[in-house]
Amino acid sequence: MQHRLGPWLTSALLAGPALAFSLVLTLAAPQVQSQNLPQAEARPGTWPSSTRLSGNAFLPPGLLELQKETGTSPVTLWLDKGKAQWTDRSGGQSCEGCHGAAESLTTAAARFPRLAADGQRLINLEDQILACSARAGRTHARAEDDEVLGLSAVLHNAAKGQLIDVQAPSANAAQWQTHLGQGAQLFSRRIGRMNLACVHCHEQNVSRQMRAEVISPGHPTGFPIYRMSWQRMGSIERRLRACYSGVQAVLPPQGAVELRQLELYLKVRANGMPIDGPSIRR
Amino acid sequence: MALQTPSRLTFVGSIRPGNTIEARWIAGHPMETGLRVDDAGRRIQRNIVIQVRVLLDGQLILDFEPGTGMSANPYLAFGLTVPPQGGTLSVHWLDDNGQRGSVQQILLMEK
Repeated sequence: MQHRLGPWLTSALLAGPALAFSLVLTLAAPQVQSQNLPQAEARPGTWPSSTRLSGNAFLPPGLLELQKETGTSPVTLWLDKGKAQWTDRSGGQSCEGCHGAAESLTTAAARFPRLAADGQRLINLEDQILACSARAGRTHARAEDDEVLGLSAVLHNAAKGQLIDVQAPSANAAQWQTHLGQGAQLFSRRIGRMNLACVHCHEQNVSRQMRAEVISPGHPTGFPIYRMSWQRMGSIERRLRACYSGVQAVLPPQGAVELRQLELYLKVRANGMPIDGPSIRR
Repeated sequence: MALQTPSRLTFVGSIRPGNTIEARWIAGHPMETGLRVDDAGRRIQRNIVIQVRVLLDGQLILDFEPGTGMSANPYLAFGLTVPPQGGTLSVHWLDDNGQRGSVQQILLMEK
């Protein structure tokens, strides 16, 4: 990264302070500090810089407060929808019919993604919800539907406080390992016009500001999220695709295997951290 | 199946006669402005909440007409003086598609 930045930085310096500043903001690299350029440091004492923190640690106080208030938090609207959906029998079968009370499914959210029944494909919680919905006669459901996200929110809520525990299955462990390896590669592979990999922001520049955002370590503990700019709930898949779009890379289609592999790697990377979703993001 | 738009009504403050409390209402509504286009370039039809009416024991106390500037999942907070005998607060709303919804909450007096 340092080597690549060299010529860029020189031209940025010639081009004027405004451009140089924007470059520093996006790509704050270590050697930048030695050149007396404006630094993109976090406001002193404001944001923690640990790499084992949930995204909730980087929320501004106002949003944290909103998140705690069950009466007015928009997240509760999805929880309400999800709870209604859980017991809904209009398709013939309800979720409750097979799984019992939603509150009893405390570990589901902490153990996805995992291999599908065929032992090859990787599925996440939303995929499982879709598969269940199809079996119960609701074939029209799509990944980012309010119904699916509502159910995902309810299940994550039931798993609140559970430690993420994504382990290799006893059967087809090799296949699982291949997916994990692919995910790890994706995490450190440069993509897009910005030529950035996940690591550049979410490991090397945690707690620094990128325009109005504070970079979190990227642990998937708080999903699904109500993002203020989306004005609705979104799954981890949507978040990942938004990252692809952020670095100006080609968007993988919904349900692409690389998104699942990346999610698997992120979950394994966050093993042992408590689930604290659903939550609010900027 | 389209689920009914969920909405919530909560009170903040101590509910005692003559006390001013804050009532908060939130509804899960897309508040589609009518200015956006979908992936195929077609204009998405406007669908916003056009009227919110707040009634205290059936008596209109607040009539509000949101515009397209209000974001999705509209949130409304207003002050309310608790009447001596208590009462029931209800919020009724209507959107461009003619869909209606309401939520009500009893003002439970604190002892």
